[in-house]
Amino acid sequence: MNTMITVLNSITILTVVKLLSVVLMMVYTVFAYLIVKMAKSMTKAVTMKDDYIIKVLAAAHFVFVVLVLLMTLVVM
Amino acid sequence: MADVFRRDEKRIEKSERKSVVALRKLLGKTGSDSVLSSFSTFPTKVNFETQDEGEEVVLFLRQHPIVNVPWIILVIFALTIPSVFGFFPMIADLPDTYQFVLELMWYSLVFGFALAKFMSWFFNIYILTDERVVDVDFINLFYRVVSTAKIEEIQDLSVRSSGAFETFFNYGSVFIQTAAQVSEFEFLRVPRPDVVAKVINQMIDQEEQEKLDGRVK
Repeated sequence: MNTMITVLNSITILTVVKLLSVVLMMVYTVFAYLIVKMAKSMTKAVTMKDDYIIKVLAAAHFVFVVLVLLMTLVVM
Repeated sequence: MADVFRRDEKRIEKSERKSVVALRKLLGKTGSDSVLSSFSTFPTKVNFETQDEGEEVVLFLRQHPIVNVPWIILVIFALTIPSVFGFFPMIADLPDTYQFVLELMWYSLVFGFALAKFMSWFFNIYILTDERVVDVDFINLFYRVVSTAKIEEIQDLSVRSSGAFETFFNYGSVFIQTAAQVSEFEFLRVPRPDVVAKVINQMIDQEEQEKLDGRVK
């Protein structure tokens, strides 16, 4: 019981912010990955001139999201 | 015997090419082939998964680029929001590193929103080939519908262009009634709807002519 109270007392607003941010970014990383998969399957379904641009954009978004997730874990 | 069949195949192929040549002569090359093009006749390098051999894309359409303006304005507005984060006491009280990461999170969310909107415009495609109509509806990231109907199954065609914006920027919707499984094809907010309707009508005429000539597909 005492341990539980100590743990609860140690939770600060910063811990809550970090926890929520990490959970949000983890879910969002999955979403970003799905966008990459979708772009890949759509460009396969309909081939257009220079359609690699959409794949590059989707990949850039995914990399950005992963970097933000890492920053959330490291910096916060 | 086999030679006779081969000769027949050659004749059919030649006849198909003739129809494409006639359409090309009739329509000419209009619109650009750029990646963001929303209207293009006989586009180069446009192919789709279920395309038959020898089937040629006659018209490639997307919604008019002007339909993207509302979400672009929203994205520009959203990008300015982190500059007012400091006015919210809950965020202002956080350490600088936390504020920085929260700003990055916000930008990644805005990037994702813009990308999803762009993709939904980019992959919402209408294709007319010398044989059929293809409608690729990219409803959202996880839901898409691809419908096709043969040109000979088209029964009725109507064009709607209403409102100041549609008149000024010359775009509108083309509704195609068919006898196919999907009874109506909607080419929504496409550029030059009157030209699109004209092209479809010409293709219907040509298909009927080919039927009379006895072309077998």
